[in-house]
Amino acid sequence: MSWLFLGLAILTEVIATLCLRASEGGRHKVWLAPVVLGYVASFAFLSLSLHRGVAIGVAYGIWTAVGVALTAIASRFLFHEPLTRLMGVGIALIAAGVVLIDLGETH
Amino acid sequence: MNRWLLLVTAIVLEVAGTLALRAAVDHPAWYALVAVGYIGAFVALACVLRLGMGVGVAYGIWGACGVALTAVLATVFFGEPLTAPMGLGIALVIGGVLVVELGSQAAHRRGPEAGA
Repeated sequence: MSWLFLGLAILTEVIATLCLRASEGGRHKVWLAPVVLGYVASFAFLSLSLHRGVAIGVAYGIWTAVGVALTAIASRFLFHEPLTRLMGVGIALIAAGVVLIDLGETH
Repeated sequence: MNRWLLLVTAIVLEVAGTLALRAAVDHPAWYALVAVGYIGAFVALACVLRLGMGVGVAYGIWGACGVALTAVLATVFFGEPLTAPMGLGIALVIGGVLVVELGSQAAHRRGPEAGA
């Protein structure tokens, strides 16, 4: 359940970041409401995962890094942003890191 | 104001806001610092970008330092466990964040057709 909240925190943060990107620096005002709502929801879910006992060091690291990885992948498809091989290496590092953190927590 | 000093300010505010989010679990009054820390961090970050620092460099360093400092300070303030595999995992995600952000900036400099 606590990991579900962390997953929702990541998802809402990625949606908010993509809406911010779609607003083109605030020029398209219609996107700003989902940006604010998304970030507020993201913090609420992150806080809920902490209330459920997820450690902040772990939660924050996974939230930030997975958010960066998913935003890069989604931007490739939505905005045709470049997704290079080097960025793929970075995403693989993030994935490996998250697995290690998870294993380290349970031992 | 120097843009690197502003970036350090953004990192400090973000880490303060994050640790306050954890402190608020026990004492809800800390939510005030969460709001102040994060709004301040975003304002400082916007100023850094306006002063001409690349988005990838700014976000990469900000994210990576934020994760590292939060992990270390959470063990100091809240006694959170930090085992060797967890430390290595956090080091990997920090490296990953830097590589993705800097890679994204490098691709943008080469033009939109790069990496497609």
